[in-house]
Amino acid sequence: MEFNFTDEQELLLQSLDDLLERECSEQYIAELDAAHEPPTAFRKAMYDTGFLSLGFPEQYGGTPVDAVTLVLLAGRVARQGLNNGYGMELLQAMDILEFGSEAQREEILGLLAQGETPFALGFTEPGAGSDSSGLRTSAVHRDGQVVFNGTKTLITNALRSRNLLLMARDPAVSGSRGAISMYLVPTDAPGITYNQLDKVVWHTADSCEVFFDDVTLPESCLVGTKGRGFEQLMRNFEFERLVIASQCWGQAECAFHDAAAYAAQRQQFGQPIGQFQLIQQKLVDMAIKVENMGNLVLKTAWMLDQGLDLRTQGALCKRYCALSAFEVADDAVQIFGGIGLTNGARVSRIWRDTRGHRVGGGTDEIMVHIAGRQIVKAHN
Amino acid sequence: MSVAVIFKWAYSPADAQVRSDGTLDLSRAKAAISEYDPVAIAAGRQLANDLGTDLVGLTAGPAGIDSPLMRKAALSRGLDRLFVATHSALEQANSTVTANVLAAALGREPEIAAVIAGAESVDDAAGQVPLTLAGLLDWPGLAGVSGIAVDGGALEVYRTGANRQETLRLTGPAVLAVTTNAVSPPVPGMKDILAAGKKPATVLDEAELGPVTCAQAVEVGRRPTAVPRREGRVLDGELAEAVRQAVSVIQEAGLA
Amino acid sequence: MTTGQVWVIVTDDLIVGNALAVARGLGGPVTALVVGSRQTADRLAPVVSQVRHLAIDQDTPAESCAAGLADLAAAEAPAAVVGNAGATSRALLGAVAARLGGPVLHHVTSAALKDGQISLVRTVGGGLAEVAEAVDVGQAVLAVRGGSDLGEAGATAPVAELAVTSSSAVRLTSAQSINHQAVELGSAKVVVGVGRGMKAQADVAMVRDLAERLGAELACSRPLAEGAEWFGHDRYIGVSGQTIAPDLYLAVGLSGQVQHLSGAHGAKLIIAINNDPDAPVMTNCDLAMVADLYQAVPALTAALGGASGVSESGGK
Repeated sequence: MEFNFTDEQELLLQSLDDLLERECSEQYIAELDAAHEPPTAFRKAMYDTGFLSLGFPEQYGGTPVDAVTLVLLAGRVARQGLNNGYGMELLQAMDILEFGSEAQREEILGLLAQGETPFALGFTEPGAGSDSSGLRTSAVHRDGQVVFNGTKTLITNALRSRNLLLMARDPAVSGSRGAISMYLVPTDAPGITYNQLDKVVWHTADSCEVFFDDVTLPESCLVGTKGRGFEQLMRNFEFERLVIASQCWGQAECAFHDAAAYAAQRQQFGQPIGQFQLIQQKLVDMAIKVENMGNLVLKTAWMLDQGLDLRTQGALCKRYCALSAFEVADDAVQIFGGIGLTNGARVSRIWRDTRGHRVGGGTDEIMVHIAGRQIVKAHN
Repeated sequence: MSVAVIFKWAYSPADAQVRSDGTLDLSRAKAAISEYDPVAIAAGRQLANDLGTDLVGLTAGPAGIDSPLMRKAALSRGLDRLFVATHSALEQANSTVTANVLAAALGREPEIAAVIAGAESVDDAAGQVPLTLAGLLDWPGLAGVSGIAVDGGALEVYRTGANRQETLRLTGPAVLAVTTNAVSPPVPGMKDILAAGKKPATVLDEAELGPVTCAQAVEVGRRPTAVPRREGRVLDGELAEAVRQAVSVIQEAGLA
Repeated sequence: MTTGQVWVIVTDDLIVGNALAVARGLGGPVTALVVGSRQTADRLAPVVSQVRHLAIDQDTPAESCAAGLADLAAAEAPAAVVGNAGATSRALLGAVAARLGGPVLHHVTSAALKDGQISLVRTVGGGLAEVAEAVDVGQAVLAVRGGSDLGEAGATAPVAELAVTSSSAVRLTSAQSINHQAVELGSAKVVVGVGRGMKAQADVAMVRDLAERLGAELACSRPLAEGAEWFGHDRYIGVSGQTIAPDLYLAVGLSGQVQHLSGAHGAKLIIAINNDPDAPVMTNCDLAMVADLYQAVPALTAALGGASGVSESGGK
């Protein structure tokens, strides 16, 4: 069993470290978080160095790479303290690259080249969170056009993206899954209005409500096959969970190192607090979780590369990493004490951002639902 | 014709510990392309592009220096091909031994427009090898170069000396050691790293390079450099208090 | 069989104080081989026994004399050849060493004649260790850094003009004087050094204010020094740069790798300001301020008060 990095991974990580040092400082991330801005400059630099075309098919100028390498890189960016800085673009782009038209592909690749978020995923609705069958936004096809009506909520990056990847149902089709289609909708289409939500997490990716009032677009905005929208989206769910898990792992590592460094030099009662057993116990348990998260993420990525079934593993991985990362961040804040509760210490941001991952991309409880079923079924 | 660039695969003293007997413990250090050599490789790449020629990388060391990681680390930075010169004389290298091995290896390239080198190596911090190499080749050797441009069949070289800024013109090959900031080396891109393993790399061993005779300085003793022990008293917490304490220390020392 | 001469190669930068000191340590008369201007040759006359001036053609750099100098060394076989580690010196020493078939030894701090050999001490590993070595007389080519103080003036030695073959392979097409005040960091009482914690060149002004308050010289770590950009080459402290021994070295936003700190070990008091408590400088200083330099530096400047040294109370 080989636990070393390959030469290529070693060099990629070195390049990435160089890039992070130049383009993604602690200060830069803190400023983005405070201003609610996305890391466009960093993403552009990642694109220019070729990192953003990793994993894309070569015909689109991409460089094929395995999932293990991808999560190593995604985790490293997260370890810098940046949430969702890298990894999510690939996911998003793949939806379009696999199913979109030529025009849609060009649009998305062009946006990536500028460091922009290609689109915001428009799935969640007031009545459809974990329960996707509650999806009500309608898409009525008529005379070569589609008319959209409905409400989406908690749509991340909607205000910054040029497009929405909108999931909407044909009201004329009964049943749930077969009615849903996927559309690439420009965010400035007439009839769309927004209401920004004031989240406490993920300030570099703002979320909002999106209202569709007879939004009319040509039928060419359809992505892939009508009625297969949900299937198309599901294709990348496993990978999405893996990327989210890598964000949790990386940020947990960041918080852990911050806390350990702080404990080593913060003096109270005449000695560094890192000498006290209660602090050491926290640090040890944090270290164990960070190690476990890394191993689980890499093993899951390996399974993806091997083409093995990921239904259970993906859910286990996401659930464990989201929960543990938040625990690590929480312990880190505790170790920092009062300062950990201020914006001056980045562990406070990591605490917020990791908390978000217990809900986004499938809640802790839905992961139980997914994996639990499979486990019992497998033992039947 | 080609442009050659010499680089070193070395450990950084920042990762080394010195033992009580003065020897260096490198167990926690990882060898890498010497800190300022990527600047030389980037400058070499630019020159090779301007001349429309290949960029050939060259490094020298004892037998163990060759590894896939080292080759890829170098080739991913824009080299077209790589020579790795290994020689037992480099087990006890000094700058002239190294220069001799490099000179022998460079003999394999039919026509070299220039040899580009970094400002100094991360471990020896001398910047001597390129200039001794120039002496061996009987070519001009210029250090402190901040820019190189092609002008017809000649090279124009820019550098800033202690008292003046110079523009020099070379009509033949030369060894040019560039400053630490002559160019800003690009971060090796994905495609370059993944393609590096496929670029040509050739090992030139002792049999091909020939013997190296060179006088050596003989070590008669060594010890760790005496470094005053310092308390490292930490002032953290409230800034105003830390500043107060620092000022009082400075004033007690009669310096303010 | 050598002539016993000890040569010191001198170029127009004139930073050969330490090279001269090492050369004198070998005992016996010191000959300055000046590859530069006549003024430089005249400056050396009072501090050595003999000056030989290699005049350089107007439109060629000093390096053009390298091969000619090597020929001379081969013919005259001096006991030792010493120079500084500047760009031109390294080219000249390199040519000599290539011809003599021996190494140029760098970071030499002292040398002496002992048991018919030349014993020397130099530092290695970025300054981590000191090594004592012996090299044959006639094979000692030594690079010694720093020192603008050429030593006590004595009788003025004769200056002999010497012609050596000069290569025309490189021509100097233009040379623009820079109005550069060479700074002698080695004798500064207080030095304030900055490193990569400085985000932009404009921010150096803030540190300059602090330096002025302290009557200090400004210096930097290697990455910030090259050409006219942030700091001149003569302001960086480290194993291949300046060595300082001030009463106070204030290290601002620099990590303090061994290659840098080895140039500052002689400081009586080192205070470091860095927001990274793990930076190497924090365990190699006397007082470690864990703080954001962008807040600490102005606060320190304010707390140090006016030129009279009367301090205002710090903080807000």
